[in-house]
Amino acid sequence: MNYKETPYFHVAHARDLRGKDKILYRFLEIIPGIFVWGTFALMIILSFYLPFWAAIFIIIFDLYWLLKTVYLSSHHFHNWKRLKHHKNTDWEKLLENFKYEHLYHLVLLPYYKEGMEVVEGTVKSLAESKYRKDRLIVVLASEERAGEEAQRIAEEVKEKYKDVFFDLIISTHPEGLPGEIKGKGPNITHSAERARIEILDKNNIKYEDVIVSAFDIDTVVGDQYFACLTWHFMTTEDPINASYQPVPLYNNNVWHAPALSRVAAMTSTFWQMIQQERPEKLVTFSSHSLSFKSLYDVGYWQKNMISDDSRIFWNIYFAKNGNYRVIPISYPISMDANLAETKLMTFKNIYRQHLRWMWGAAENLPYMLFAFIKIKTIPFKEKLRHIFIQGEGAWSMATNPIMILVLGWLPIILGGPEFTDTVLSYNLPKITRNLMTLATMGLILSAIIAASLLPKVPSSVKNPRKIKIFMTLQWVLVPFTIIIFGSITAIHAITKLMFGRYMGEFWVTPKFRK
Amino acid sequence: MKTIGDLKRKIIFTTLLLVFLFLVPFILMISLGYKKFDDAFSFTKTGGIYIQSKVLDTSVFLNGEYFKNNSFLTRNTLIQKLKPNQYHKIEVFKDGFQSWIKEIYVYPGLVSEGYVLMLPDIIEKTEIFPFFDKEGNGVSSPIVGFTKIAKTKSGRIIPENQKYIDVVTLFEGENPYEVKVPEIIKSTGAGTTTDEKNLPEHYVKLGINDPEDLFNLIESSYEISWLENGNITLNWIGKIENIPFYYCDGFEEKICKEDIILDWGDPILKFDYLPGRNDVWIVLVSSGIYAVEVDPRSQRNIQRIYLGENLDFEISENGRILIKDKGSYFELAL
Repeated sequence: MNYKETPYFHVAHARDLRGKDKILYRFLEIIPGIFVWGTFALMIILSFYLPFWAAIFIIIFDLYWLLKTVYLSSHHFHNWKRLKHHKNTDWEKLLENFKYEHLYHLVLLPYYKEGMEVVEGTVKSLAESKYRKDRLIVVLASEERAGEEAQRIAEEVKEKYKDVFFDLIISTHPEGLPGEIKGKGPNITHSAERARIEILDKNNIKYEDVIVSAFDIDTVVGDQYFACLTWHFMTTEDPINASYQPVPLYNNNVWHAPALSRVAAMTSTFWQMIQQERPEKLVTFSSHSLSFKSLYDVGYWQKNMISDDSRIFWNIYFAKNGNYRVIPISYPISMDANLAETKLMTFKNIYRQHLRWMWGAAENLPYMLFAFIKIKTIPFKEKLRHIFIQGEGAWSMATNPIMILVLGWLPIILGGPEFTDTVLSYNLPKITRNLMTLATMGLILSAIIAASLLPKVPSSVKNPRKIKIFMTLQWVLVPFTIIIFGSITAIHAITKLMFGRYMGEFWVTPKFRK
Repeated sequence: MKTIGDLKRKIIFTTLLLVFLFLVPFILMISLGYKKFDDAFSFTKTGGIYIQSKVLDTSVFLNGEYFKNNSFLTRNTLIQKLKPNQYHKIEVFKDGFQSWIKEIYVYPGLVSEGYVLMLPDIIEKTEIFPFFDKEGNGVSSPIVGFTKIAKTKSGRIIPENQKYIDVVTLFEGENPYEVKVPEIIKSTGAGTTTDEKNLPEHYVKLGINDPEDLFNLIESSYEISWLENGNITLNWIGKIENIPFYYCDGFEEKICKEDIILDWGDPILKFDYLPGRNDVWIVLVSSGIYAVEVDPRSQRNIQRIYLGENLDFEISENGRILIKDKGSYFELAL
């Protein structure tokens, strides 16, 4: 039996299952928490009872972290070159060698209460794309619960752009359908089905000829995005069995966003850039593209959970018995950095957004582990590889920054005089500091890359020179952002999952532009 | 343009793995204090000395050679990679300050501590006068026609400087002018009234039946000290694992004793702790008042505070040293 026909294919959490499956799934939900809290407990116990060995472990771990930074920086650097190269490539010209007229791009734009400026900005960028518009289908996916204003915006945008594309429709996701959370997944699924019925089927467009781009509403694409995407689709072996991941930049409002927001956003971009060079570790994130055929075969995005963007990868991966992967296209798309009316609100929004992302990473772990237990046809080595990549990723994000920046001092605090009098005790903070100072050299590369990815300064920015200085200095915030928005949000999400306190509603990041 | 590629990634990964495998033992050896000396065939597990100091911009010398100057940011000095199982001489100098010299034994893999005691060569003193003149300066006698004279019932002139009254009260133990003064807690003397039934365990352990019999008893949560036959006896009564470094010494193996005795030669008449330091005593002997380290390792550093005969001292509530010298009272700027 294909996994997609099983009752657990679209499971969100343990509560959706019964009997032994429920117990097993619940256990798998607890495992990430056990690992994370177990690590902290072990560090404390080790520092108390065996401070010498705790200190040795910390020094080795610091060295590992330094070399890991070098390793990841090499990937980051290479992707930076690739990103620049792809941005400057004339993809339209490259496509001249291909016959691709049969391909259509279906762009799904789910939105909630975002204003006209945001919605129209995204549609306008599609209209300004160099790709042939008669192969672009746009769906403005609004929510009934967003009220009349959201409908009015959709109608106004439709009126303005209806003749630009092959088609532009408005889909309004009804409120309160059973089995759905309040979130992006149900809306985007509803909009894909509407597009299938109203456009694809009516025009006899084959599903395998449609590439779906599921964009957040603030996604502004470059003028060659669809050409680049089409080229990758045409040149990829078995293109239907792949998702296509661009690099999300958070440039739309970067000149107005506070330093904390910029650093958090750019850190996220950098991580995606690194992952682009490690495609075997890549899972779809945020705005991405994939074949409509694959999407339709699995019943679109899950409607009962938060992280629809990454879960769709696992849905299709398991439905195809592991024959599915993500193709990194290294082409930038631009989105909004977190920006609210006050700095405190911005800070809160960044935290909530990262918590949602981390929750996504956490809730996919038990889903993946459960499926690997149930599916016997995927090779064990392949299962182990994915378990290690995803498990280690979540664990290291939650624990490593805290282990390095905070727990490194534990043996000195808890070790007692027998340890604090040793040469090792005196050397521990010194060596940790030196190794971490070397590791922060990677920040120089980050600052250079970040500066090169910035858009031109808009005229609305009052003091660009001052902001440019702050943009250079802002990287000192990295230890703070990596702990608060990386580790703490990951621990928060993993702990919530551990105790079965599931996130029931998709928190929509407010889009605020100055 | 393609991704970085599997081969390149493998090369980077393998290179870094080799670097890691090479650096781990290297860094661990450094962390543990191993060093290769010219006169030894193998690596030696060295030790270190950690010098704490409250005085800034001092010059630290190790075994007669300049080592470094301390500063605001690096107030304390860590000297590492020292040959173990031998004494190392530490000297700390600063112009205008009395120097600190200590020979500290270094153990393999351990860091021995020292706490610098450096008092100024000349300690400024301010006399506390009972009266004021027209300009507000202190004077020893009331000024006729200016000072408003008040007398006690016994006819003694009451000083107009309240601070003077407080200081006299502190030295006398009671207010000789019969005017209300704030209650002053003396830091010396037996402050504990103890009946036999409630005698704390540490007294029983030390064979003391009545603490009130002990002269100049000073007691804290961790230590008790008193004067006995002109010597200071100090006992550690806290947990043994928290015992301070100055209780511990020994060749090749560090041994901690729970008692320290200071035998001055001449009888010590009175002692207290130097404000802000629990490892330095102020002692009153016939020739003057001195600061002396509790730390008995090698020679004790003794530094003069106030020289003279028939002196007395007290510590005020705000931690100032007060001196009584031939009927005059002084406050020291320490």
